[in-house]
Amino acid sequence: MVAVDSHAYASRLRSWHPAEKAGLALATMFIALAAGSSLTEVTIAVLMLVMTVGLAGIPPGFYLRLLALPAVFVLVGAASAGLSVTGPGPGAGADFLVAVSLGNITTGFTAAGLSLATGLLLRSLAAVTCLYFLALTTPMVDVIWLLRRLRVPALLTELLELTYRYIFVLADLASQVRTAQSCRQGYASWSNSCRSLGGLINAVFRKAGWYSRQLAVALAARGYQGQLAVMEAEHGRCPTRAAWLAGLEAGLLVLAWLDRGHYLG
Amino acid sequence: MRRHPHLRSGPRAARPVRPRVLAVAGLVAWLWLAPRPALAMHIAEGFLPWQWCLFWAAVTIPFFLHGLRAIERATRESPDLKMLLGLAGAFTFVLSALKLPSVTGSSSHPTGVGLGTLLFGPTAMTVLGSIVLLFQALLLAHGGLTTLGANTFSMAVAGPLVAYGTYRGLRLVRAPSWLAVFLASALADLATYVVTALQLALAFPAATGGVAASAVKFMGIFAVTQVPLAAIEGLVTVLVFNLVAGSNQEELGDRP
Repeated sequence: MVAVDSHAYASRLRSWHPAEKAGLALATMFIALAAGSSLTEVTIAVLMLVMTVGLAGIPPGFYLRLLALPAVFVLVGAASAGLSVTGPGPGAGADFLVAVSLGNITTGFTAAGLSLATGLLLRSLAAVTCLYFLALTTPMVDVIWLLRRLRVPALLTELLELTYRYIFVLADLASQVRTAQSCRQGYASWSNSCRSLGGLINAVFRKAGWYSRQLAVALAARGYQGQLAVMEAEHGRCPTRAAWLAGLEAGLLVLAWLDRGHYLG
Repeated sequence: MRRHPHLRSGPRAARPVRPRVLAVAGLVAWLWLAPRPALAMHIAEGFLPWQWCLFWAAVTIPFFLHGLRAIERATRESPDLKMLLGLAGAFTFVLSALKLPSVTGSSSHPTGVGLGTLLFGPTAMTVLGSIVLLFQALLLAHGGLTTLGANTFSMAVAGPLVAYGTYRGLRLVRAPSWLAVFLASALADLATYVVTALQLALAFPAATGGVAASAVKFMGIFAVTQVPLAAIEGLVTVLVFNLVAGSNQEELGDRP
């Protein structure tokens, strides 16, 4: 869980302005979704892969393992979206490429279904590489900084900051409790596992309550008035780079326009 | 005399809820029969067409703003509530990253919707749930930014409402507490997946039969994995709830 964030801190694009990175990722993602051109989607996926692995210096093995995470959902989801089921009646089993018949129900892929599934696969791949570019180059702190700049309500950014901070504390605690329980055969059988997991969640919950009260006391001691004021990092802008990135987006738009209509799905 | 909380959780956990034995036996049988690929419940990035991304974001935003405003009002009265909610968000995130016990060896995670709603209330859960989903997308590469609206609706709006409604309804007819907790969290889990299946069906209607046929298709595919998972999540939530209710209220502090 810590891995993505620590790679973001260590990436070579860490010094880029958060707005540039977020703008690039979101604009490219929007083009991938709205372009309706498979060539553009493949281009985006390759471009984002090169930028994340080549430019930002994320280890390729880690990147590929990360790509495998949504693969299960995307593959099963795309396959089920493309799957056609027909019952008995006129036109049953008319234009299946691959089909299995059970009684009088036929299940299989038609040419249209297969192209829908492939189109979905490509679009998801393109959008996921955009998400990974943002996640692997921009630490959460910078994302929250950007949200504050975008005038997101202070309450929300403060909740985000607190949640972010304590995710690591509580995850650490959970893994310690889990180790301790495992040492005592806590996960040796199925019923043990259920009981241990219950105990673990209870322990984490109570500790969370304890932390929140300690935090309240600590803040009160420092004159807390309802706002969490913290020092902000400074981010340098680079107009040349911003212009290059805008040019890149324009290029993708032109490609999408030239290739319009050639769409699987 | 106050004892250390962790020392107490062991013997407490053994407090029996009788029908559990039957439930466990049934579950084990079911789990061995059903094939279970590890399936994520969140709609992956880029999976929905952009029109549907905007639609679900537009549907979710009023619920989110309502929750945020409720929290804002509450924090104005007691400023310490903000810290508690931040911790609650972190707790929900860690909860959703825990592994549920499984017989077949594949890993699966609880949604935490039921427990979160019972502990923090459905309104706060909408805000906490969307924060958790954002972090899951950016820290765990799970879910996505364009599908954030759709995922928030299924996990942080529909799920909590079902959990809250079920729990309240069952307590009203004087059902035992463990049954209300079990059904609230299991049904919240199921509601989350039914809504997800509906969202996918709306976006990808079947060529013959339209949205309804497509919904049946998606639910059929996801039901194999989700029905046993919902039952396990219900079971674990009952265990946690017994422990939490059995522990010292003073140690828990105020809950919203």
